[in-house]
Amino acid sequence: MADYGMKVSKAGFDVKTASLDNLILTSKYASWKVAQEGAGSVTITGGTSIGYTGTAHSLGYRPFVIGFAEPDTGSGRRLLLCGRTPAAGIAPSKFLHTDATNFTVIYNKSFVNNTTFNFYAYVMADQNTA
Amino acid sequence: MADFGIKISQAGFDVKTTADKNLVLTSKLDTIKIAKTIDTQRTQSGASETLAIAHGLGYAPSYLFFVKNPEETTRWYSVVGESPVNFHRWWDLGVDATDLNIFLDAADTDVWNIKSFFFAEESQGAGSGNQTKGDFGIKVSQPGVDVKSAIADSDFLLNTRMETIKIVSVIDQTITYTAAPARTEVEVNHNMPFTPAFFGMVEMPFSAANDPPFGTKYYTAPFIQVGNTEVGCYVTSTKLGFFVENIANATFNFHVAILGNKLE
Repeated sequence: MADYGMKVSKAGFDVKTASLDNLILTSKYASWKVAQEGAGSVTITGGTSIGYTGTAHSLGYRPFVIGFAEPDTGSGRRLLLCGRTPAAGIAPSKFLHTDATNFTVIYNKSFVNNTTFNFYAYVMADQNTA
Repeated sequence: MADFGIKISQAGFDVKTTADKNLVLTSKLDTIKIAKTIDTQRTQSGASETLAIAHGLGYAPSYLFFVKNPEETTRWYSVVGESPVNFHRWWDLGVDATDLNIFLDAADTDVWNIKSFFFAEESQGAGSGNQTKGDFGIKVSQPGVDVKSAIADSDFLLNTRMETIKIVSVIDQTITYTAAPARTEVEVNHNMPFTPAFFGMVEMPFSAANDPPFGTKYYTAPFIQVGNTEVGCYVTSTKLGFFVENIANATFNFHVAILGNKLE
């Protein structure tokens, strides 16, 4: 590492020699920074099985997004949203996709009528590309 | 931006003028902070089970976790997956204020390894009862919160009592998949001195006409629908691996961050 910048080590480690995994923070690498966060909901209306909500982030590039959603309506738990959650088993299935202007949370569940599902998401300022 | 705070830019960018995405750190924005890391080794009980990992934070945190399944003992995968031979499966059942639940489905007495990172940032929004005390380090509080008296994790934009998520690099990888429905894997060196955590996205080639509102979009990896589509990543001590197993041939574009946070 170049001999400048800021490093903070974990307790018990010499910051001058600590390996990367023992650093709390190092200015050598970007840390995940939250550009935007907020709650949202998706409603599946009667006669359909898919509902989705797009949320603008206005960054102009595709950021990292981590989202957490109700496994099912009224649940006290939250699931990490990835491509499809869950991969098998009990509906609803949930999806999160992201582009340069929006992130979109999708719920897919048949035989529901005007059901709303809640989610919360963090949009990073950090760009999802090399 | 207000004319105060801490900003550090990436090399080659003027800290006074560069965009937020080119900053290593800025006190204008919250920095994701790891409030607790838990290593778990679990010997499965029964044909399948729900593992509860108690985090003790008192709020429902956001999180990442990684799994080493009993069949592939050199590979760490993310929150959902299926092993290729014995079809061991696991997936996320979610977090609450007490624990993270993970579904494990291998064989009785099989051994799983799970590494979980629980964040100070909540999975259901603000409002944390967790207390982080200590009068050393660097702390930057949220606007309107006295940095000297703040103790709840969520009151801080930055608190060096908690490790940050460090983006060492982002690896872009395209797989031109021609082996449908068989599995294709590609591995690249991650050049880390340990097995790192990772997080990324994959562009899935959906038809917007057939699957609105899908289309060809970037989804958080993995994208797994057991029996139809299994697309994702894993890490070993030296490699970042990408895999595709899909019902149709297509092109898959991955963009995955190698994180300076250690799995093992």
